[in-house]
Amino acid sequence: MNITRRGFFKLSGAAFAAGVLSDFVGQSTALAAETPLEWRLSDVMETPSICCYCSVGCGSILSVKDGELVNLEGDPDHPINRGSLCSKGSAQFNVRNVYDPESGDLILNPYRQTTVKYRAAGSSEWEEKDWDWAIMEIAKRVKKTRDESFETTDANGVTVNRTEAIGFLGGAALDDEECYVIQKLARALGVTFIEHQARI
Amino acid sequence: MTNHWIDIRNSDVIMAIGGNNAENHPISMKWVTEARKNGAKYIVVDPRFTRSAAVADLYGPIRSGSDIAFFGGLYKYIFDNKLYHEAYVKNYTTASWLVNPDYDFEDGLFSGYDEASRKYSKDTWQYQTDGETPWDTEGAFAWVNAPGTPAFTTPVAKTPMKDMTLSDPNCVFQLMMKHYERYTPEVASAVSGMPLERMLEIWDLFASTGQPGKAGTILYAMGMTQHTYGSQNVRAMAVTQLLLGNMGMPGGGVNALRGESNVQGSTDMAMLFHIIPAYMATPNATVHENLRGYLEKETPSGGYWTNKPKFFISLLKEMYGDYATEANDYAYAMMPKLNGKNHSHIAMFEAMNEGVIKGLFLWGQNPAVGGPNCSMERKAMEQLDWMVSVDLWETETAAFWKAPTIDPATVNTEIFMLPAACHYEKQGSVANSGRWIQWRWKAVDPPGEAKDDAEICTEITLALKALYEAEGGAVPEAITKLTWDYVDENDHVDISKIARAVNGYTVADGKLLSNFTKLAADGSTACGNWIYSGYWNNEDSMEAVDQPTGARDDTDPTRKGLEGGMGSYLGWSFAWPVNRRIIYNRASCDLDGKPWNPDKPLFEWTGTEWLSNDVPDFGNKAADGTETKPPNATAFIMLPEGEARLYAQGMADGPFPEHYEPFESPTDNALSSQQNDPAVVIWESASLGTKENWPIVMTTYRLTEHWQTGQMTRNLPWLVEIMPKMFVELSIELADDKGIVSGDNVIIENNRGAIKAYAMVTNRFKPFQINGETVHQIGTPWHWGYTGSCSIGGIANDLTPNVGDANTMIPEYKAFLVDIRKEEV
Amino acid sequence: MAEMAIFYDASKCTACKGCQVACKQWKQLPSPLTADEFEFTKSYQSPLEVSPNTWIIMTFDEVDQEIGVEWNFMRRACFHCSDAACEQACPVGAISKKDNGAVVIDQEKCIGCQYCTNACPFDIPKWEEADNKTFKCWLCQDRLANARLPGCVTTCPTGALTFGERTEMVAAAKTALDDVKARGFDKAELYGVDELEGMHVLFLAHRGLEAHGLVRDPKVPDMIEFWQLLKPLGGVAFAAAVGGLGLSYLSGIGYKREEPDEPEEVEK
Repeated sequence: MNITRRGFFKLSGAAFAAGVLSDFVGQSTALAAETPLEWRLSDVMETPSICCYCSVGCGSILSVKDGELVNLEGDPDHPINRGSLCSKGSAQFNVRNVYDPESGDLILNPYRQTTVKYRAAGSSEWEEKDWDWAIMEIAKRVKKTRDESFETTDANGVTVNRTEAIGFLGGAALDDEECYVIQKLARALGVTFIEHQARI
Repeated sequence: MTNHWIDIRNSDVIMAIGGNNAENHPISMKWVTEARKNGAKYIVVDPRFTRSAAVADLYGPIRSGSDIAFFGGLYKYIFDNKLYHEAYVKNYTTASWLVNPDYDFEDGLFSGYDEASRKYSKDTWQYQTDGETPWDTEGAFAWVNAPGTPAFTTPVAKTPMKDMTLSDPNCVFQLMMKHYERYTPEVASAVSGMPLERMLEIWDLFASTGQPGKAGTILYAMGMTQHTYGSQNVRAMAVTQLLLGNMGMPGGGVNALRGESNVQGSTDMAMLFHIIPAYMATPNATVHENLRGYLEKETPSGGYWTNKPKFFISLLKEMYGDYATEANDYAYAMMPKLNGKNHSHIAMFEAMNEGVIKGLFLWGQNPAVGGPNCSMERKAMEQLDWMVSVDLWETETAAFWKAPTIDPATVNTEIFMLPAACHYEKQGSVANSGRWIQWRWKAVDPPGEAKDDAEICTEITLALKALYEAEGGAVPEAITKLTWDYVDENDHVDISKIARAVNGYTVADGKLLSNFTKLAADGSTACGNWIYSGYWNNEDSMEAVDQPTGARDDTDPTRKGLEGGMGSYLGWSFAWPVNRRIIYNRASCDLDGKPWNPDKPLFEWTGTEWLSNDVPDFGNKAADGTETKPPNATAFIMLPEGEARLYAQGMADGPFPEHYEPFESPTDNALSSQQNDPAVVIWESASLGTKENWPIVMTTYRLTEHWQTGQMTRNLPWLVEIMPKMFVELSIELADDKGIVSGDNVIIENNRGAIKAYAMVTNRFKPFQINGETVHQIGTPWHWGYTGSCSIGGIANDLTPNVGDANTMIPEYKAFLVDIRKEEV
Repeated sequence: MAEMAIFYDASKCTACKGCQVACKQWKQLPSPLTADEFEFTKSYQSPLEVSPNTWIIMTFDEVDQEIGVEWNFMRRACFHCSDAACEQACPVGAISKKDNGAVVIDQEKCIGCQYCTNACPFDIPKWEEADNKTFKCWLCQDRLANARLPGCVTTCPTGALTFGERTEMVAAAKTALDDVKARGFDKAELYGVDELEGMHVLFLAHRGLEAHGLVRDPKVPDMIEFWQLLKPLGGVAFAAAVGGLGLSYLSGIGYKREEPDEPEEVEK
């Protein structure tokens, strides 16, 4: 491969236009089909990403057309996976989009959550809510629980500034920067029960 | 990983044990395949014949939980046949260090054990010393005098006593040989169930990497760690690699194949109770009553961690900005203090069950399926007043009130289910197993009203800040004074601003730090995570593409004067620390600076300079920039010893790995009368069972086709198609005993629960001969649960015990007891 | 235009099924969205057979050994034969052999008669009732035309799948055969080099054809030759008129894949 995506990438920042990319240089004319075929990746923007599953850290290239994800393959420039992906890696596409078994149309994965939902005490169902309401209600509950349980000093008079009434769990699927701010919030609240997937 | 994925290709022998890399890290096989093109051999040790085993040169079946018997036997084999790398062991490990003559080990117990507290006093485990050296606070440690640096009493280094002939009966090497005398091949085979001949073949092949210049790597995962002695399992591997001279070598190392795309990064960021970012201890009221106490207790006398005060003060400055001053101990009081008790996952759910924890945030975690004894964990969630689940899916945890055994009307927990963006609907960095911090760019906007976790966290934080500003409350300054300058003009999160804080900057001018060597303990620098420093250090741009973490040079160039093609790819992303790809890499050369393997040189001393194919893990240059002559052979710079520990006093359960049985075991410990790890905390709720009631060993694992609790895969139709149902693998012999055939619905049960699965009868599991008796083992994936609409199924973790490792409290998921029967129709 | 071929080296395959999913990803093939549409297969193989919406599967066959087993994997998809029974059986010329060696169904022309599904010695083409069309692998003609490797080859982690000019792939296969024999796989064999006048998917079965579930000496059914004589008599109209006749001639003469061996049938 003597044409890499890197060149394009450097030029245009985060996303780059699909250019003349060749998996096998010099053979493209020999391989051409007799009749022109529709090319799925014309007019797409391509963005490099890293797989969400295991920790090999394989690169993938996402093709977006008219604001929607239409293709996802291994990143041929990525030194670890060199364009390859396993079954989960190849299925990352489905995390957002699936093909409708009836119509064949590209649709959003119907199991993705796309609205804020709230379940009241004792209820057997979810209610849809808006973000502003949810953030404020969550903040109020955090404050109430924290203030009611907060310990400023322990029995020995040592300043401890902690609450054991709030727990934080998770983070192994998130980005580093997200993890940093989430644990920062937890520690500022005085939370000591902070754990995630690495423990288990 | 001490090394990295591509480096596997530099190995001569690759051993996967307690991990199933072909199935769970499939792309690793690209590099195993490359190594094999050059003649490397691939060994797979696993209770079950896996897809890794299917392509292995040698497969050894092993009963879950018997790894230390296997490694202890390997040590004895290495000693008896003098297969260790002698020069390496002498110069780069603590083999020669002398230990207190009162150190002892007898019948499964090390000296200093207190049965009542289940703890060891470690006095007799210490090294013999014959002198003291205080820190030179006029020279190397002059920084402690800088104005603004908190006052603390600096440590004193003790001079160890060594016997370089390795013959003193109290030297680590001799103690180790004595310790493993009992681990004969016959005993190791009887305990582990691995056929003797096969075990010897595997030992012989792996020990061949002890020849100078040869490299062997060990690939492991949760099959090693998820035991009550999981930390000792990891030590067992590390010690193997030290004896064979494989640490720091290209193609060597102890390589944890981590299970989630950023579990390395989330650990680096300290989403854990016991550490704060970058592996510093969480302040604890029982030992760190104030900043001075913290610095005095946590700053070692030697090694790179002597810089810890710089890292810690810089973290406090990042957290509290101008509010953190020398006068208020850099807001040390704001950092919550532990109460001396364990607050890990198991303890957390115990506390929840007792009603101590009232509110729970979940950031993409699903303990209702992933936790140990998780029907008990779901029950504990009923005690919560509120829960916030930030996720892409309706997890079993967010929907715990919908669990088959729970009546929603009786559950008074309020639940907020917040829709999150997926990994390519936002941008940020993730650290892979090889510590490469790689940038993920955003390809597409989140669907509907979904938002990224950083944005959600920011909105909650800003709302809390506003509430505490307006209303006050308990120690409001902990929140109101918290720096949160990570937003744009519209108060939306700006990830590049978080990256800047994580990398670190100079407080006075806000300029990014080039790396952590620029950090100071006097309040002049701020840094959220010192080991990440350098990943985002380009002042001229706030675009990831211009930062080290976003670097995309995919060439593997030849470095000056050395053969290239070592697979370091120094221009691709940024590896912590300081872009180093293989850590402890000084040990890849002999004392004179000549590479053990001249064909695969990471470094070489030419007589006038150091040539390098990686970022050196040793002082190759003096402060004035001149090249430092060999030996400068402190290969393990993070340890006060400077040399790698064959013997580890820091462990709760003994300085050498010793075989104990899992808490639920099918046999008596053949190596001592201590059945279980004596330093493990036992929780009553674990409801442990016995072999009389539950005779079959069970283990859990992951599949190529699914992931973790299944939310990220059972909701994906392509993946459900290629592995649609929950199943249990069992041997033909056991199936015959139980009248089970493939495709039957079966019940697997123990004291903690009962689950349903389809039977997959196979020769991939075979009965073990353990200490003279036939023992059956079965296994299931743990990917199924009751939400996730493409495929639902039994929750394997309803059966796993909530008993944890003596050092880390990781649950013993990998070896426990059950029985199995055909479901009555 | 050079003849091209995929080479599948079973000795390098870990059956990760990346190819199974990558094929569906590229070809935009749906999978069911609800749980009850899947059955437990008693095996790691899933689905058990290729279908209109699944053009590649990995097969898993197990042979017992004293320690462990031989777990033998195979790629199951269109073989792109030179002597292509499906192409010969198609009454409407919907199936063609491309110069690059691919055997391709033109769904525009396909009338859903299922002659090809019955003629194929490997039981590969699959008919879909809803569209009344037949589907199978088309060797990613669109990707080749745009200088990309087939989707399955692109995604393969270990290099078990490679692609190139057929002559080069044959040479690579022969080298790989020598290598695995040197490693002790005495029963290793190549497949597709000469079978059916040469296939455009080549195989290295390092434990022998049968162990990997391959059909030894596959043949175009004799009936096809007779059928070839009739076919020029007329296109669609003819097919409609004698469809029933043709179907009865051709049905059941191709290879029918058995379900994977259940382990309890394995001889101890």
